[in-house]
Amino acid sequence: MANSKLSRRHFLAGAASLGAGVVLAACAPKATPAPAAEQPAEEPAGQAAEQPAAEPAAQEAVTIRFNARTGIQGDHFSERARAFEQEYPNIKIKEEYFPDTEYHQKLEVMFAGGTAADTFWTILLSGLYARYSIHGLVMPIDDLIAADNYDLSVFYPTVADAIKVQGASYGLPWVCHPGRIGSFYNKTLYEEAGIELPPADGEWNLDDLLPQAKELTRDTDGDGKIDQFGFMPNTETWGIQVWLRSFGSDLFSEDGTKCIMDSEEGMEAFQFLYDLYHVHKVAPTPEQVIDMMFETGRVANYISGYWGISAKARVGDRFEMGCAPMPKGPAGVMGSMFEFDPICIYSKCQHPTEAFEWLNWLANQETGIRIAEVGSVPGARPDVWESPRLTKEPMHVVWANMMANCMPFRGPGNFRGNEIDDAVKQGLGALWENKGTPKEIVPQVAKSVQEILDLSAD
Amino acid sequence: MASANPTMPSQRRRMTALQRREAFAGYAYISPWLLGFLIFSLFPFVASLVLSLMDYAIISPPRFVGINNYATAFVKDELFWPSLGRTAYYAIVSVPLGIIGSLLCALLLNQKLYGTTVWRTLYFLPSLTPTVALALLWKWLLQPDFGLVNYLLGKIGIAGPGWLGSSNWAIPALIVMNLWGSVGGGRMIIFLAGLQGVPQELYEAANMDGAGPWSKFLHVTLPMISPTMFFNLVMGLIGALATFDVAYVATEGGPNYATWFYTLHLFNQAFKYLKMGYASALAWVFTIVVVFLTFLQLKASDKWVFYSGAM
Repeated sequence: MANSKLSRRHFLAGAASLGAGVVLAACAPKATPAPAAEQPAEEPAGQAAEQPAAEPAAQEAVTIRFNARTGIQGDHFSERARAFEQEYPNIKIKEEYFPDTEYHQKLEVMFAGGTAADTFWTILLSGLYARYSIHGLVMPIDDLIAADNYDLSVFYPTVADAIKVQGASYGLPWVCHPGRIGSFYNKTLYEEAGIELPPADGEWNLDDLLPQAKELTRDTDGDGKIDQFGFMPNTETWGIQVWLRSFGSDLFSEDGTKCIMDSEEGMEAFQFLYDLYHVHKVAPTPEQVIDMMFETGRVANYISGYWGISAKARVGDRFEMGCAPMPKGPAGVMGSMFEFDPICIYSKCQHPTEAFEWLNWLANQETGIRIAEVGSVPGARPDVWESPRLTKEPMHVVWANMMANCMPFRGPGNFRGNEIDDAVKQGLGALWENKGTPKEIVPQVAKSVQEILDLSAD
Repeated sequence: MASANPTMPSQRRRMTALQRREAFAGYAYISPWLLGFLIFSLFPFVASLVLSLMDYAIISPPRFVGINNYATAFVKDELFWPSLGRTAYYAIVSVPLGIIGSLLCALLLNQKLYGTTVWRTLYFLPSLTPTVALALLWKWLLQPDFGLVNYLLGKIGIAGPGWLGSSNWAIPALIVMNLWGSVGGGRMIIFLAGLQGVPQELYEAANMDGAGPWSKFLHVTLPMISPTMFFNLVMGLIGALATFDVAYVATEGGPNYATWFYTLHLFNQAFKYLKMGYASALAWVFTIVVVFLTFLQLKASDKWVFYSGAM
């Protein structure tokens, strides 16, 4: 050591190498280790018609990287990846999962660095699927669909349009649902009160709902405070959108360039919600809302998405729960909206054919059934929603019927879904808090939304 | 300087091989930190300044827009000034309360009483609670109809407010949550260290002069811990201005933008709306505000901070 001489050049070279090592180590995405191979729960007979035969194992294996979220979905993707690798021995799936809250940030940073995975999961409502697509980060798959003779008719009819952005298809649907339109009710409370249950065929309306909600709203301990609310609407932005549709309005015009939430029909919709909170006082205001109000028997009926079925496990044997379509609005229909999660190929992917096989696998019947079985929403195909493995759950059957009649997706024309989500959620907060009437507040919110819609799609 | 040490240049030239090796070894030892600073701190710092002059959505190439982002913040962005105002409100209330609370806790725990170590641990525990757990816990405690806080208020005849669900009470609720998690935390430990550093002979001298407990606190303790208080004030103010996590988790900026703090606004612009250039401009405005306020505090500290070493 004493004899070794460290020149300035060697020092700089060493320091640079060390620094580069540190940077690379820090920047390298941390892949969540995949679990040990699990036995895939396939339906060979059902798959045979939809899946290409396994390729010969002679050629060198291709590795396809895949980005998605951790949690139930990550576990599900890992399970499906192992099954895929058995079916396609020449394609290895390298999974890299990130927590939900930072998933898209991570993805965007990897896009900026050119290191995103070959394939990835994303979402529709935020507008990110479309924004990634128009910025050339997602590979158009129309040629792959054509080359593979891929049959898009296996999906719900609205899929073919929903996967298109400015005329090109950029992804296949992994899961889908018809929006926040399920009326989940506490059957025990309804029966104790002698009230007719919400009909599973959806043949009821707001005139039926209101008396029920009043009857089920109670001050059980006589302290002057309501302990049990009759109804809890869904006031998330996309919950509002389907509510507006029940009244014949919407958040956006058909081309997504105008905000129409303050139309005459829209104002009626908001007045009804406002009255539920502040006139009839049958719904808990945001001040009063707390997690798991339904599960703890503090709400008799609430509106949620397909995932509301999972409350059954949390309810346990405390009471019996049921599900019906939410009531029809004055427009004579129940609003709904087709929502799906796309799976995409990165535009810099070197193995698009193999990547498409993987997408195909994630959009197949078995994957669509398995993800529902583990507690998420089902795949975007009628043969998934109609599968006996899912229809054994009565609440699923209600949803399958709603799915069959689902209205198409309609989002902002400039794909700024996240900004609009915040503007609607925060702006309408004043309404739910009774800081003004719908006539005073809704036009202001509509103006904020319109200002966002007027921005470019960049 | 040159005339005071005329031999310095020639000394440099006469550096021995051993000294050179030692110097290089020294640089090699600090190089991980130095490179880390250059790559992960200085470079992003400069890059954010450049990006603040760009329209940059991360997923598309940046485009130069001059000072448009700054103009948008000051003139067009309807959430900019209100978010700054809310942040100031939060800081003005939470920082003094936090400092007073931590000082009181430290004074209590500085008494030589039986079980002091256990009490110190108990007071410190809430500060170890992760923000998400803290938010969930307090959402239940502050629930207006069946939460514990309003239940206890009801027992003394006070009708509790809507707390996190009320645009008037959401910031006070966040302040309460923050105080619970921070009063007994690092700030209290620093005060405790400061209190234990006060020379006992000063108290003995005060006793001989007939000073009571309040006089001793006012004329001995406070001046002697004023550097500690100054440090906590500077750090507390910066922390309060940068408050983000509890609002992000507990209220998501609501209701009706009531807790839409400046850093939450910045975060949403950058990572939710992909307006990275605009967010960089917001970050630089924030930096200038923080530096300015810290400078004011430094100037004002001449008037009230007492350094015993400067006697």
